[in-house]
Amino acid sequence: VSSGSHERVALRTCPLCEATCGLSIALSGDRVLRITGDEQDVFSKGYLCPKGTTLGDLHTDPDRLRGPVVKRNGVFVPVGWDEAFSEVARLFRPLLADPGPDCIGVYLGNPIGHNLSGLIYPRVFLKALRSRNLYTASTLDQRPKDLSNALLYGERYTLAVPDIDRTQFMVVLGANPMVSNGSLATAPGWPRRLKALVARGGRLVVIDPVRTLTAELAHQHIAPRVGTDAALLLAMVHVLFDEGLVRMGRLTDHVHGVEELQELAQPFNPERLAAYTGVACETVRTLTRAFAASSAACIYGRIGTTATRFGSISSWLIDAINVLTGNLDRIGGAMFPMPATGSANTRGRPGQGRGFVMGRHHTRVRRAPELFGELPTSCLAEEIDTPGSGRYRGLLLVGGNPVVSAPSSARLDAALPGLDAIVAIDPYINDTTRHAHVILPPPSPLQRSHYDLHFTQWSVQNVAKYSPAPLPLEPGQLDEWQIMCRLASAVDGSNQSVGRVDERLVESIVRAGVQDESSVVFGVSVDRILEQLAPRTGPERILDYMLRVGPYGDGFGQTPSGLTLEKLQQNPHGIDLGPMEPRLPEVLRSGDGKIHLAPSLLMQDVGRLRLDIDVGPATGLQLVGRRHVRSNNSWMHNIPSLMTGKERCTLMMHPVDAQERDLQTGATACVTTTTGEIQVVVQVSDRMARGVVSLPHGWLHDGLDTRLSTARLRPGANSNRLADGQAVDRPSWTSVLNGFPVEVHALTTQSQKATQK
Amino acid sequence: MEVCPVDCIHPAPDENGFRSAEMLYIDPAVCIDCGVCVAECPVDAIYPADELPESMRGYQKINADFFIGKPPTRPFPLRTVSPPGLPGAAPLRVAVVGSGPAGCYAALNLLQVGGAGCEVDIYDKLPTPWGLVRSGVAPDHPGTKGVTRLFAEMAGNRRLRFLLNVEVGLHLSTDELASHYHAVIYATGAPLARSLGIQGEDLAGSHAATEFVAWYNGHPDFADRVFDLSGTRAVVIGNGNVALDIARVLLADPAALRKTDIASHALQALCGSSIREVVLVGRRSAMHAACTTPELLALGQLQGVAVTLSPADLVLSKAEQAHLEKSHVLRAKYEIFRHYAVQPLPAAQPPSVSDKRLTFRFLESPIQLLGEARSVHGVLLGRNRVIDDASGSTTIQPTGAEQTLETGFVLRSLGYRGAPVCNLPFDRQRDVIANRSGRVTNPATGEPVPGAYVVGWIKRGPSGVIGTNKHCARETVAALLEDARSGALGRPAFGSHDIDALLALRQPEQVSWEGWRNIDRSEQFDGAQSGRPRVKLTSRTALLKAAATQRHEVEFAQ
Repeated sequence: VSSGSHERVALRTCPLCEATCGLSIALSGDRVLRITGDEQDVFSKGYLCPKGTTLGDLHTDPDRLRGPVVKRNGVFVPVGWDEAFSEVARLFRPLLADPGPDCIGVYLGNPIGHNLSGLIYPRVFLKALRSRNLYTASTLDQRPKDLSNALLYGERYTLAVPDIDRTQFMVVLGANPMVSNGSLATAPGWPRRLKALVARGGRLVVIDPVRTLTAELAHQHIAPRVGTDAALLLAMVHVLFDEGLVRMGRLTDHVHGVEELQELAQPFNPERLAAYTGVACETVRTLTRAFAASSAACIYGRIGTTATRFGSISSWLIDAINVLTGNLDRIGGAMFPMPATGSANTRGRPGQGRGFVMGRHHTRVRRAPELFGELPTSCLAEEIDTPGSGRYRGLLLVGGNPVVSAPSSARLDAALPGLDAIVAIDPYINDTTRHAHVILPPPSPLQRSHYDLHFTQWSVQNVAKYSPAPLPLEPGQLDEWQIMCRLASAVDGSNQSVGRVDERLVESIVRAGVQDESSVVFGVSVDRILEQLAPRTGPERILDYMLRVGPYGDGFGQTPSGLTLEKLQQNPHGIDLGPMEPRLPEVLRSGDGKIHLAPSLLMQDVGRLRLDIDVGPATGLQLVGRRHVRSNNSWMHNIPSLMTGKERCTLMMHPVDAQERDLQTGATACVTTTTGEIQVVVQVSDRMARGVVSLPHGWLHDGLDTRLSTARLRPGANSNRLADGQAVDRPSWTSVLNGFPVEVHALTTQSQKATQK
Repeated sequence: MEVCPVDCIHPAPDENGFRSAEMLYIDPAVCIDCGVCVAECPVDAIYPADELPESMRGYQKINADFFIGKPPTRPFPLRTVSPPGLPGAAPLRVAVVGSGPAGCYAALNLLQVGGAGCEVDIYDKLPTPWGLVRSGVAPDHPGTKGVTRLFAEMAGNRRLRFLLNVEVGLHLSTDELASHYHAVIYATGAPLARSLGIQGEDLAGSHAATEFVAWYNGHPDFADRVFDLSGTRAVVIGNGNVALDIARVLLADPAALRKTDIASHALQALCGSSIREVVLVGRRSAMHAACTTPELLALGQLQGVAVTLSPADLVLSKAEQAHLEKSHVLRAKYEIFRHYAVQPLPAAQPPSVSDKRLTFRFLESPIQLLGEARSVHGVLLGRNRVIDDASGSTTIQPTGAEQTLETGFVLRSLGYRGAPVCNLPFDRQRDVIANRSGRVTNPATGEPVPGAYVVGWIKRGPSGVIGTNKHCARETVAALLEDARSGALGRPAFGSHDIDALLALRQPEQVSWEGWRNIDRSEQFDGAQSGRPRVKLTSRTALLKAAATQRHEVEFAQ
């Protein structure tokens, strides 16, 4: 029953996943009555998944920390912010002095990518810490794509996304957007958009060892052997050259390396690879011909192509196929968005950049190279638990739970107590933050403003939307950016006020702008711009600046009709900036302004692939990951309305594989690898191909001293106890989380005992 | 329902109409198409609107109509994940007597919320589990039987055992059970049939519907029954879902039945059946027919069967008219009858050999079963009329008019009836074991009988759908766990080894879960040979032999 006159509606973009759906939040006072999809949102048009409806539950979750806590005698004690930051200074400053900044590791989790403050303010504490040891969740996930983007186009986030609303032929590889809501291609309502593609007569092909919901929607489902997608893509490239299907059109002048790629692909004919990939050569040839014949086609790959043994090669060849068929930067193909707040490919000289270098420094133990300033998270545990000079002594965790989400997770769990100082910015005492000495909780999503700085870079339609915080901060609560500023001044000992840290940040950002020859504010005085941004402060001030100097901005008065934050505030359902437009060649930031279709780092890695093909397909069971629409990586498992119903952290396996091991749905199986062992409930399903088992990631919430009362009731099992942190995709050093061998056997059950008796 | 993120499935357990709901409705204006409920539904009853099979098209409107005039959406209800009802590994050994939906839902709930120390033994007097899902649900409703997948999944739990082919009262007494477990939950259902209480009821050719159902579903205790199907007309007294099931089975094309798991002896008998018409007789008017809307609607899909009733049976009294306007469910049902009434009027004689007929008759009560040479040859029916009273409710009164309907086959389908279980207190008025919220109580003192609980039909009487048991089980288990926490459950004198030893002595032919799996695989294997989902084994001897024969699914997977 509606509560009448006291009910009000707040609009906010959902911050949980990449889809950026508009939420309509019905509130009575500070109580959320219900959350529905915002029908008027220019991008999501009312689409919503179960996770977005639960922000009210997240806000009221009694386990969510409202104020900072400090560990005293092994127990977390609530303290005031001043005391918390004093403790941070007491823990970190001696370490920064001796042995020095590089004894501190920093881990940035996935949620900060969906967070306005989290995308702007980490630079203040990173600068204060001066550590080079930055680890991110993206090194467990998308890094091969980042690497191939950088190698092909000169910049990591220059990502060609499928023009899903206009394509006529889409190949989805190792992705299940019907369930995941899509990733590395921001589109609220992927299910609606895929159904629309089918309805308008377009063709959808899914390549996945599992018959996913997306595969069921498709016209064709091709199920290769696990982990052979790189070889399959190489075979497609081979067919393009072999059958004279290469048609690059207007791309021709912008592409280097076509001959090298042709030469590389020459031996990889689909006839030769059929035994390895499990896909008949005629299937590959027919698919490639049809793809090449389409006037608007795109191939898109996700986690099943990145967190794998040959993730970099797959990521690269997906783009190579789009390029060779002329579908890159073509309407209905794979295109480059133009975000309103700009990005690395809208700043600086159009069409040319500095390219990129990697390996400017390395990890101590395994000599893993830095890439985009980040180190592979799979190396974190060994940097903590390997004795010797340079061993980490402190860790700063921001919105991450690597004990659950990183491979060899048991090792990390065991290593963390060996640190002298762990500080976390996190709303929960979870399996990782339980090891912390100080936890600094940010406000709930309903108490934060929002603009998708990051995902508008990968958005299949150019949109801009700002949402103010639906609910105010409670007395004594700090906003996330304020926490980050205070963290910075506690660490560097300057004890500057939040306001001063914020001012210095905005000054540095504006100064970089006025010194950029390509910027609309080139040569303008910093003070004049700051005046125009007043009286805003915090992330809103910086967001306003970014919008105004961005591709659609008002240029501080130069284009009066252009975008400002004020204009976004007047359009709470967002502003549609139109479909993606061709952007070549200005989008490129490679050193020579060309697309590098045959990057030597990846060409060399094909040697490793060739060896694997020669060895032949793996035998035994291979484990892959699985998405569920009610899960959000390792978190949101403490929200009761997302945790009701059947157990979903189950090992899915093919009926015959199950029978061979005397397993049935509901039975508990023991899954082992050389790294670890878990016990998990079995779910027999003919969705699985023989030889493939799947397990969702982000589970196992069983730490005794966590504060996750709902998640602990249904802890699940952690696939990362099985994943070996030493196994990586060589060029990108990304962990192999999809497609590694496991052994599965039944635990002896009472019923079996009864039979034996 | 509780997995729905936007609370669009109604009526909810805390809303009016939940207990009497014949189905649950999804509000199309609120649903976000997330599909989470589809995977949760134990009977595969949920479809996206655009994927509804042709035969179910009508449901889109039925769902939408349910919400017309309902108040706008309420605030999201609070969901909870139940914490273990007992701390840590506190031991709690529970016996569940009966493996039908009520018993299985109780076991499932106990395993979920009972804590790590909770162990459950499910007993059944048959060598096969699932109660009425196996022996009651009509063979042409395979989707409904899908709920056994949910129950089979719990069998993998190491804290659960199935002890089949063990009868409480025969192999074990209730006192013996009580001394081996902290608590016993009786889920014995309602095995008896209600009687008409009229003359001629015991004539040959007059049977309880429940027995006919048990027969065609292959219940071993009814497999040797003989039903005379040589007449052209069968009369069913009653118009609930069981009556409809029987009518469908009697009128079905044998070729269609051959694709179901109907018992082979029944299939053979029905192949030789001469029955062309089934008449369903109800004492009240059409809007009060006891069947549910989905079942009534599905009759319209029967191939080669005309569903008919006299338009005169659709005339409503003023009070009935008013009642109809207020109730969405009654209106939906009445509309379907109106649709059927448009069909050509029933002829006086049974239809020709080429087609078959299902006839509803309303406002008629059987007065006597007529017979000669101890066999039924007709039913004497008395006409009723509806009397509105001042308060707006209605009563039925005989008009005095009588008519004889000739038939040699009468099935009395007035519902199931509970039976007493050994010495447990029985409520003769309601035919249930006396209880409060699932705790068995002594009716004289009102005091609970320690450690004894009930669930399902023996607790609340024979009404509701399979899913109703889920909520019912939750209530009983909550009461049991509360008693466990408060110390009201004594420690059993004997443990699990003792019961095993006792059973080895009393019932050496006990069937384990693995034994049932052998039966299951054997039946499915035989089914696969003849293009059927399974061929049921219908004698205890055959069942026990199959249980003891090791079989692997690989046999038919290859």
